[in-house]
Amino acid sequence: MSKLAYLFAAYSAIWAAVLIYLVRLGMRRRALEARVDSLERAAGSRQEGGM
Amino acid sequence: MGIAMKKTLDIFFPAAALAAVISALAAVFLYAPVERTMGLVQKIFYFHLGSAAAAFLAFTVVLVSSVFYLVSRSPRWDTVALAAAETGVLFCTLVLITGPLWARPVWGKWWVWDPRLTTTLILWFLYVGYMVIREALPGPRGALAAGVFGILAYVDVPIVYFSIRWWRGIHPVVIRGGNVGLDAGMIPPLIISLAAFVLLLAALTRERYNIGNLELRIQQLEVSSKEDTP
Repeated sequence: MSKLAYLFAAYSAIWAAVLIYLVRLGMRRRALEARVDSLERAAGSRQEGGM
Repeated sequence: MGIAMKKTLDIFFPAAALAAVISALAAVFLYAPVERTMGLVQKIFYFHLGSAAAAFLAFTVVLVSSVFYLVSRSPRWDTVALAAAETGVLFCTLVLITGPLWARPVWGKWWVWDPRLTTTLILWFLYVGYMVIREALPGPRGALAAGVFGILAYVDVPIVYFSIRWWRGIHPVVIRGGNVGLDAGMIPPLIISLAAFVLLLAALTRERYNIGNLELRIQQLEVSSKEDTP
């Protein structure tokens, strides 16, 4: 393996890891936001039903 | 903090990190001189050191937030500590990946049990352990245990930093006695790389903190939903 290949591997590993982590964070955030929305809607309809 | 300020920071950190990372790549590949002995592979050093600085900073945030959590018992501090621990583990992983990729062509070996390498590996295991505690013990018990562990684990950070001074090893010493052992042309790319990784850490930790806040909101809504159910 040439020195250039090691350099390429190191920089690729860094950006691949950061990108994968970012994608995972984005997916998790979307799932949690959807869960918050559904719980807030349910809480809102309970309050309307209780009136 | 107001909603407008939060939204501004949500945009500022990723934008600043992206701009800094592009600048760092340009500085490393277009400005920094090629080292005479190691050649191109020496350029791994800029982002290897950047990752190490980001990991150290993240673990310092874990320490400070753990202390604040244990004093105040505010879940917000626990959320900050967890976010910083997760991003710290990410950057420490990058240190452990890029180090061997530099070592193989320079030392002829992927790994040696040098004090700096060994203590860094221990650091990684300690904070992975922190994450395991959080997974195994949800709720305030886990937050308390992680808070104590987050303080104790930090003992290894100064050990990693001073290991190259305390023990004989083969890991290069870049900063010794306030002097930077680098060619003058390598210093600006190093400073830009360090700034880029600190901004990247800030952006990722903030995003992870926002996720932690969403998890707290869900817990609150689930508790109030159970209380409302007759």
